[in-house]
Amino acid sequence: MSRQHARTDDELTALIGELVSLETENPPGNEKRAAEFIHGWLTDRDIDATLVDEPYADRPQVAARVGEGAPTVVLNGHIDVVPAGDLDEWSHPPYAADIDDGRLYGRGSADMKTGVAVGMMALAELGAEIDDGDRSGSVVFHAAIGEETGEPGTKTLLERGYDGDYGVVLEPTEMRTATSEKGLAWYEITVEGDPSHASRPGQGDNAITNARPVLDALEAYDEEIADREDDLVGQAHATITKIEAGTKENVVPEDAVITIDRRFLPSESADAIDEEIDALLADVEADHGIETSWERTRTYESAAIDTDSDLADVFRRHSAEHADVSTDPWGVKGSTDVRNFVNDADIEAITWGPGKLGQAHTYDEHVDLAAAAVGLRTLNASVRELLE
Amino acid sequence: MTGTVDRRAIYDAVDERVDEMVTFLCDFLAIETENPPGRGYREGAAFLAEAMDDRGYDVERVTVPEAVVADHYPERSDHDRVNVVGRQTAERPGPDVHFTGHFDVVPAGEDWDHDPYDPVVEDGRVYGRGASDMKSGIVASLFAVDALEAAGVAPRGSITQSMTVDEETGGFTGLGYLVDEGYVDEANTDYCVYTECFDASRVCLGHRGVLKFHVTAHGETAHGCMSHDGTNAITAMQALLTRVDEYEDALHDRTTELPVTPPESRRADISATMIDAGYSENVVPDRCRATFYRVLVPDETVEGARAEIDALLADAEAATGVTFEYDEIMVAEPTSASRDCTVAQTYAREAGAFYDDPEFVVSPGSDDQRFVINDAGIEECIVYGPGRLEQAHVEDEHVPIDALVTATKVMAASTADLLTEGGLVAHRPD
Repeated sequence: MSRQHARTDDELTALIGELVSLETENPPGNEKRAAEFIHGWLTDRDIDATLVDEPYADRPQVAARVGEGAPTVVLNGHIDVVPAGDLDEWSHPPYAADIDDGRLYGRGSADMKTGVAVGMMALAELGAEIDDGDRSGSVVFHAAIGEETGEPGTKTLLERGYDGDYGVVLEPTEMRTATSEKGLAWYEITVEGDPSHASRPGQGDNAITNARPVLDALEAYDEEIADREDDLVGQAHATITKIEAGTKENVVPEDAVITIDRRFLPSESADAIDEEIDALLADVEADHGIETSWERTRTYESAAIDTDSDLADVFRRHSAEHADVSTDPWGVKGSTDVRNFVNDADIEAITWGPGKLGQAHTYDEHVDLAAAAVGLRTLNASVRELLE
Repeated sequence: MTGTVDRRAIYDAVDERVDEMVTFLCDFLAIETENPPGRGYREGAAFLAEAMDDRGYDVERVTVPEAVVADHYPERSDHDRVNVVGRQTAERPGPDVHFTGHFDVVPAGEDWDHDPYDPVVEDGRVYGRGASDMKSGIVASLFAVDALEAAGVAPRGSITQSMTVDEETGGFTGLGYLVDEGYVDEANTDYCVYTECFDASRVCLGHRGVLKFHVTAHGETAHGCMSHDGTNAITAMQALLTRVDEYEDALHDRTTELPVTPPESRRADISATMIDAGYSENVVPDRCRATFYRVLVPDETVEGARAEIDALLADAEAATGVTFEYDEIMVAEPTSASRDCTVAQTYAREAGAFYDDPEFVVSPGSDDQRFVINDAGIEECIVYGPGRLEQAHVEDEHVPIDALVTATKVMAASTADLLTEGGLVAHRPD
């Protein structure tokens, strides 16, 4: 690691810490405190920022703009975080923003308050250059709500005119430039049973027992679709993420509800996956004499732009220069709001940011502060080139 | 008691008291003693203590120390646990008979057409929570002893009545506590009748056992988009469920010759009753908790069942590399008395005066009888009471008054048999 990599940025570190310490779990959707903080931070720097009370009045998001000329680069981050989960599993409390050995710990540190902080700092720095007349073009910034639960935060901001020519979704990619992203669909499968007292289980029909062949079939399905591969985003997955059955210790349960997290490739579609799930369950029903039903509860379509786009080329070059990141084409395995740019607003957009995606949603989530500082410098350099 | 006392006098003495019994039962049912959480025990105990005081019993209220309650029911230890014991000792030595019953009731719940705690008599039935399970059993044994006295039976030995709490949640602070404290032991009890609801026509010899436990699989969390980086606790639990399924098949072959009712329950069993895992749709869960309900037949022991489950967990751990944590919720050992024991034969014979071929049965569930047989070591212990098993824990619970009257007669006559030198004169069918 070069000396440059090890340098941190005190102002950036403080800002990441502030954002992480504001608990913004979603669900239930506690973004307001962070939105108000960000709005205040930007306004204090004379940046034209707006608290947007759409799509939800009680969950405002922030949009800001510097400059009036073309082209416009949109820097996007979401301010919600997934719930901290079992607090006993954290060795650093999730909202203490502890710093230890060059890392800042906390829920949202990687996903993605570091990205938000980097976007805010870049906006302030580039905004000053634009205001001073040193630079043309404009920069728009989003601090969006509801990303973790697929709500129309970013989508609403784009529709309300906070759009541009280029989009950068600042999710943690270790500064690799993603031109493709995976799709995501969640399925809720209900397996039926018939309740009875557990001392006479034969009088009922145990939904947990009935769920077993469904779980087996879903595991087999996950193995089968792992053969579907995309050069940029990797394998398709079907992961069982939740199961719930039973209300009393002594009663055979009436139904079991299984949740599937299905990651899909740009070449797959939610409609096609619906048919696969339907066929899978029909087979299990026929083989095991059980009854099931399913529902797709959320969908994030996959998205892709041309691997050789100008935007991607600029970020790849600067990332290689500042952080020794490979310039190979790449795709992101997670789902991000980049699909709203590409699919809904037809904007050339990438997912790019400091921090490791593998830290997202884990206990003791953390971010390397030196990497965050490199990220800010790389972002500034890339946007400057786009604005030239 | 002498052999000259005939059944007719005892039956008549019971019949003369039917109105009084029904009134007493209604007053008793009006005292709400729901468990969980264990409400109204002090009031219920006061009502019973006063009834036994009036009848000349030596009465003791046995309050369970809070620390003991906290051991078994840590979340409910602020409710008083009061049991009542009354004893009548005759001048002439003889056998000691002990009647025991519980006065806690399961929560009434909703959907009643009647008020569960404002008992009414309709069509020869008394309606109210606890009518069958099992305040009528306590009423029957109290009035059975009254009837003996009224019929001029001079007792030998002693008669003890205990009324206890918390049976519906395991009985550890009720009859279990009385046994622990020596209120029921081989030195002071020859015959014990647990007056739980098994129908006046049936003598219940024992019950199956239960072992309730949680198992938690500990995997490793990861984001759904990098799912292969984690260890999915649900997938691990599935490996255990597969083994539990095979175990269930093996348990179904572990049948009992004992007359467990219904006959489909004459085998050991295990069911997964609850399962829970997952924080969020897109996070690989690192914990999955399942709850199991293992039913033991009377030849089994809890220790043996634990060892088998341990082996299943070890096997699943070896197969998955995931840790499975075992956490026990409740145990009740199975138990059974011999149908040839004196108290069982006596009750069957006396019930035979009212029913053709009274049945011997074994309960598919579990109750407090195990404390008397397994812990106090008293083999002469049966379950006999007026309540109807199918009325237990249901809405609009009731007990037929004729069942209450018949069970009281059977208890009175059986007690006379057990406490009389040479027993009652042989029953002559009319």
